Amino acid sequence: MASYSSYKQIASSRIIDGSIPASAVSAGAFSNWCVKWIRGNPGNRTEGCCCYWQVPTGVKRITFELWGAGGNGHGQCNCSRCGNWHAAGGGFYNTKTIDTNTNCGYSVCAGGVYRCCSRECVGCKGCSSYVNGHNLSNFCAMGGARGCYTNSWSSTCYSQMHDCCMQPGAWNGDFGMGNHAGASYRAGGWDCHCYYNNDSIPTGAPFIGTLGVSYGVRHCWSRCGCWTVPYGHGGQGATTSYCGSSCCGQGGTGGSGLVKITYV
Amino acid sequence: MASYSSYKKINGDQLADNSLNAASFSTSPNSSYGVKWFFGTNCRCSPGCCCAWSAPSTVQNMWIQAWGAGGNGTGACSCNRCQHWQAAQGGYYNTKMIETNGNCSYTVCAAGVYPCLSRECYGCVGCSSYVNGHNLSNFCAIGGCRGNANPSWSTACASVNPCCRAPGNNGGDFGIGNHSSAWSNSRHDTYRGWCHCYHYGHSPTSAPLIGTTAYQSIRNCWIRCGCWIVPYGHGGMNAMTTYCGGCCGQGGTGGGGLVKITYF
Repeated sequence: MASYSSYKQIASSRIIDGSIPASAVSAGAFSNWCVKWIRGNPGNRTEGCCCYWQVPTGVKRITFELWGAGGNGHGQCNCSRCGNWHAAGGGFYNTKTIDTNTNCGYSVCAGGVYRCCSRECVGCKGCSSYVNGHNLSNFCAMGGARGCYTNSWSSTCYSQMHDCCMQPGAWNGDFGMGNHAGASYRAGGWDCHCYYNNDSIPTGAPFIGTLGVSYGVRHCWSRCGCWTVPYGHGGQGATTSYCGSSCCGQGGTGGSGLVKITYV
Repeated sequence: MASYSSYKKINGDQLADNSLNAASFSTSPNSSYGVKWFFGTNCRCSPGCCCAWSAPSTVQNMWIQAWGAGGNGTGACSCNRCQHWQAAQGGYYNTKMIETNGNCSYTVCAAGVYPCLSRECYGCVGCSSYVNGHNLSNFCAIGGCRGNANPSWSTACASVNPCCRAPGNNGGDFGIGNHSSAWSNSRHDTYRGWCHCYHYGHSPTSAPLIGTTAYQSIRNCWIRCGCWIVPYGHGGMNAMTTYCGGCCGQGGTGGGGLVKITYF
């Protein structure tokens, strides 16, 4: 049975279309739009950042964008023979837009890197970034491929999708993609090896746009990778242009993963 | 003449200032926000993806972003003289913000590539991505230029802008392209001529704002085909040889186009 209070209520059909002025709506009623970044320390051997994030009041829709951490660079590992260098890859990208409710909680993790500066022939893969919570399931962006040193004279010298060719929709996103990991570039000496080991190019993460990170040597006993690279970027490797050199160069680590949350 | 129902209606200007807040509404006007991606499979010879898409019923504005497909790489075409190589260009970017009405229908096409793996001295141009519908006219993002190979020793060794699109071209608010790559230089070999043969490297370019990387280099190699897969919008990789007489290598195809629609 209808109550007195229900008789008092006004249905939207009783409001003249287009008649409500902006001044009737209180400030901030629909000003939920915001962007939140979750990221690790931009420095060397970043641990990433994991936290619990709660949806602000009034928010109905969220777009998550994830970038995995970049892979670590290789060490200057081989002491007996010239080698070539496959540079590390940038982290993968994944995005999803979902319905949400006020005060829903999400576990958010911007991937870090394995905290080692490799002297070995291979580095370590970058770690995944991920978000768990309401309307999400196994949603993540993988880390980038590790750098690799090899003295194989038949190794391919083109960049490629080393670990995984990610299809859109993989890892439960709406759209995702990866980048090639690096290769030796115009290396000299013999069969893609040794002196003039100039230019190996670790790659970046899609939609960040960090291009131009590279490393190489002409005549150098040992050169370690740079301590830091941009977010999501593959780390630099250690290089030498000689056989039997000190064998101590350390690769650098990749860039931290990122999570960008756009909500309204 | 006024009807009974019109007498019942309330004029919104009778509402006191700030009398409405988010809690006054059954659903937030913000809940119409969303992001929709269109893409083909991430593989060689991608056919792209074309479909009809209707804006959700409450949507009023759309931000359309389109990337054309990357050009295909060239084959290792010449059998009697050293070559040099110009890598393929990434797809162009174009964007437009429009007003729309709920349930307006749009034809959306994320470009594919010509499904050919070229053995010829040139690849194929990447295809255009486009969107047609209400408040749009000839809106598209063109594909990247093809890769090329030739035996000319005087071709410029600089990257160039092969098709300068001014912002506002192709029905957009703003558009931009990337350079196509430089013709590959090399360390000269006085027995073989200048700017040719061994120490080749080439780098197809990426689509603007995606920022991916792909490259290939060879020191001494009979034949190396292009990598099968490059990232979305990226120029395809060439086949290469450092010798005369190798002429069977196939270039790779470019990355497929993308369309991203952010609506509100």
